[in-house]
Amino acid sequence: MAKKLTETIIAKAEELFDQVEVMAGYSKGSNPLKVSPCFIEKKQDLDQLIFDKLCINNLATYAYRLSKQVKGNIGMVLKPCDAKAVNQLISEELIDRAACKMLVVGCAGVLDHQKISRHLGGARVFSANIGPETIEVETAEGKKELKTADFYADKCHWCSISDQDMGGDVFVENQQKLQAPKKDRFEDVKQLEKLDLDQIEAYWKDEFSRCIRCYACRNVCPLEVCQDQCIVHLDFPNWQSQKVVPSENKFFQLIRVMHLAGRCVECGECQRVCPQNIGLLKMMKKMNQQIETLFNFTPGMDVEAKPPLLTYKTVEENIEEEELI
Amino acid sequence: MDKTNIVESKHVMAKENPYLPSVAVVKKTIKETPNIISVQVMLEDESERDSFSFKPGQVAQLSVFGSGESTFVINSPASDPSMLQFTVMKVGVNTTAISNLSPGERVGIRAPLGNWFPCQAWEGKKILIVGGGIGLAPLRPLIFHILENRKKYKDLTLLYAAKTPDDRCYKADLKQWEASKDINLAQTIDTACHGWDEEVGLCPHVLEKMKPSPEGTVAVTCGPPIMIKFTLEVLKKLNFDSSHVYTTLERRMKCGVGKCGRCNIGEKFVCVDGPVFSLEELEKIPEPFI
Amino acid sequence: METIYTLKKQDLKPWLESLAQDSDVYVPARDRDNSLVDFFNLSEIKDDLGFGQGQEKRYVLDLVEKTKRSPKQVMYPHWEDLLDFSYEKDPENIEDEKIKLSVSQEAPNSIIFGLKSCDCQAIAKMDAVFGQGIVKDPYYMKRRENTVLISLGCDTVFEDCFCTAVGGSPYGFDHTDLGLMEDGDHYVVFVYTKKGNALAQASNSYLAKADAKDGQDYKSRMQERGRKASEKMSSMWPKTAVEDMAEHLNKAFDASQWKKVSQQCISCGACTFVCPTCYCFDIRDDKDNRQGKRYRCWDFCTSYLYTLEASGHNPREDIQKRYKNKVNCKYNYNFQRQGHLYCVGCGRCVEVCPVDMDIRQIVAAVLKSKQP
Ligand code: SF4
Ligand code: SF4
Ligand code: SF4
Ligand code: SF4
Ligand code: FES
Repeated sequence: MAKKLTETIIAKAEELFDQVEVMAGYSKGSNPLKVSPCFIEKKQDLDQLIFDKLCINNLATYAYRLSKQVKGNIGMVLKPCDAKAVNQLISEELIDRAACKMLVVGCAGVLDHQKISRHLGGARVFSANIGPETIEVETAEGKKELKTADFYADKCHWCSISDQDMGGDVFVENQQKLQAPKKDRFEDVKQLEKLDLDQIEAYWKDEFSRCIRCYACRNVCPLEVCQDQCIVHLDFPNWQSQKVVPSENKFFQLIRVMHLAGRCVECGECQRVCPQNIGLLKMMKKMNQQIETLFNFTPGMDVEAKPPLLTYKTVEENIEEEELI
Repeated sequence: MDKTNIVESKHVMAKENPYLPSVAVVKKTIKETPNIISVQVMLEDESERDSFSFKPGQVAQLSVFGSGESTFVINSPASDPSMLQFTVMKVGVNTTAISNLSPGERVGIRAPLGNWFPCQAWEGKKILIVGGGIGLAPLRPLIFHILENRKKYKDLTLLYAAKTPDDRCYKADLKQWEASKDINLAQTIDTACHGWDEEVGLCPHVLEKMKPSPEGTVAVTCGPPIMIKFTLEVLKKLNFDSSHVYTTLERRMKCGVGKCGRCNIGEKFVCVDGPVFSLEELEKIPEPFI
Repeated sequence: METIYTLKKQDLKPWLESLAQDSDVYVPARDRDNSLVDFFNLSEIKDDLGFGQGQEKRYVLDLVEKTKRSPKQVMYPHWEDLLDFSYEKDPENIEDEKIKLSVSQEAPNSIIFGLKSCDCQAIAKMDAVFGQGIVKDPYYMKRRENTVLISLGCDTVFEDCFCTAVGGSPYGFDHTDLGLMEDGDHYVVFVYTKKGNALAQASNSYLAKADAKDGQDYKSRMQERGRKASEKMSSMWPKTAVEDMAEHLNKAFDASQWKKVSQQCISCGACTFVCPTCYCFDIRDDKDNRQGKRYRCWDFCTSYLYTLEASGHNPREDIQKRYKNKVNCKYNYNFQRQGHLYCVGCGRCVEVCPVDMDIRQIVAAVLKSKQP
């Protein structure tokens, strides 16, 4: 199945290729549970492309940088949820719609390799065979069979756009449909909110005591196009100390949350790449929840929409002025 | 003071803790151009001051406490190490903080760092110095050294290039050198302007026109990276031997003592193996001028 | 040092706890709340640490897995204060504001237990950076002198291990103080240095001296185990003498190839911060009113800001230049400077990279491009 889908993607990419200078897609990874982003500049190299359940990376990460690097158009292989990020970039006028050719692939859900390796107690995987029902992995302790349904990326459990083309130039339908069991998107946020403030504080302190300030979360985010000028590194004013202590680490993350308000498409990349397994997405989701209630806005769904924090209205329907004071 | 011989330089590493600066007091500030300023400082501790020495070309880490350290070449004459001068272009936080210093304020100094011009080895030779803009700073102590030991060297020529007459640093020195028989001074600016009767044109072009002879000559150049690059090309064209061509390079520096890894160009650390390099050395390093 | 000891497995816990009485003892453990394996200070997690599977504690000692981060931070912390400064008015002349500087540094006795051969090799490389050259780094050296290394040979080889390709081996004990080999219900303890010897002698209630015949036997078994583990390691690249790598790297790649291999890199610090041999740091000031601290903190060369000069000029503006510098730093520049490769093949950078950059494949490609 995956093979057939890959073939269709390659065929469609070939059609699109005459219009683009470079095509970003997935290729085989260095490890059985990973795929590797690739950038194809010659048509004959398109056969490197793959697409399967491991394609969790959001290639929109490269949209902004690539569009600045190449003179011509860029092409991208995107899952519907990844396309949201590109749409958001377009609606913020950070990239040009016409210069970005989107090949959107219908999605049956992607697997979170972190979940798999956590389940395996962190043991490394020598080989993996991934099916729609089961995953067969081989570790130092031998072969194991896992249930695929347990290892979907969180976002897949509440995805409602897996078979929409999201405004792409080409849409490749996927015969397999989304199989991730439905879950409540705010489950973990609700759990946390049940705690009292001290406990929440303690929770985040523990989380951020692990942060090593590698900035992977920031740099992978498709929308944090300002990473090379980030105020975190500014000398003047010296907003943020470079000392790696929980309070500073949290401050850095809060800057991210604020700067992504009304922009974050919840692709989950920041949490996925965190080498210290910090649950960053809870913060992002909480902010998105606020944005949804206040402005009735979901980022990335409509290239024509003006993101609420990039514009203003003299009267906001959902905000009582007094609340602001 | 014995001006004929520079005493053995005492490295900052004589200190047990190379990161611990010496405190110095600002004595004087001089406005060189609209955005370039020179600061003269004196080490506060008397015994430190007495034992301090450096050689032309060596650099220092200068800091305003709270704004961080930046690297500058010591551009005052090495024959008088009691007063140290640094020239700073206002571009970042620390340089702005330094530009705003006034006499009496304290700064931190870690010096001397890096290598120096092999002046002794050049004795008996003609010296051609090509400087651009603030790039005259590292060359200034070298010029002083040669002037102070004039008999040991043959002709001394300085070609100094700046964008406009106003953008020239050390105008008082230039005036003196213009009048002096000990140094041939040629100056050029990028585009002609009223009242300027010297050369006009980019430094490498003027140099090419000047056609200095490579015979028994050492050429030293410093300026913006792009100027250095083209000047070196002209010197090669004029048949200068790469072992007789020197320049100083810049990289961001932090530790200054070969630990922090910041300043590398290929396998060289600018803070330890430089800042002075001969073209012969540079030809072995990949991409030194980017 | 010829002496060889044995340690009963059940004595491991009391031994480490006894050592923790006057040293900070760092042990590799898995934090079950988040699955991370890291070095933890034993006295900080003691009550929550289980020595063995099946115990319902938050942390469990893990002597097989590689820690996500390397133990370098014990001697070279992520950040540390270099000095304190304060502006102080001269009471006699209040116009005059003096600067007072002071340095204080703690360097507690430390023991790192259970580190792998690659991490020991890496510490030797750190020693070369901070302990040699025109000046020693007093902050590092002080901690280093007070640190004892107890390493454990590797029998499990992971998919991303490649120490043998860069001159190491799973039982390479050459830079450790004490080296351990697991053996049934006990550990065999090999002594390598004076420091290790002193520690072993002071631990005589836990360590038992092996007699000469057993000692010979242990030694040859250790070699055998090392050989076996090495064989399990997949060979990364055509067999190339470590000395030739620098040369190959100097010549092999042109700019277009570097562009190709580095394009996906997102310029983060993950690979640098987990690497046991990366040593770059930044020096910065934090000032609060009239006093503050100058400190150093790790920095990463893949960052755009790393070489950005105040003037706006950036000699390594594109990621390809930065990544090329990174690989060359490890396999070429440091080799020319220090005579060592600055990669010990631990594979950590491969594991953490968000976008699946694999330094092994890149080096392999370089070497292959030079094969006849
Ligand atoms: S990715 Fe994780 S460890 Fe790295 S800076 Fe972000 S939160 Fe911290
Ligand atoms: S903040 Fe995280 S979840 Fe949101 S768009 Fe950025 S990477 Fe994706
Ligand atoms: S470069 Fe990678 S494999 Fe080599 S020592 Fe560093 S982290 Fe380990
Ligand atoms: S190689 Fe990977 S971990 Fe390293 S900087 Fe690049 S993206 Fe980050
Ligand atoms: S400035 Fe630190 S190594 Fe040169």
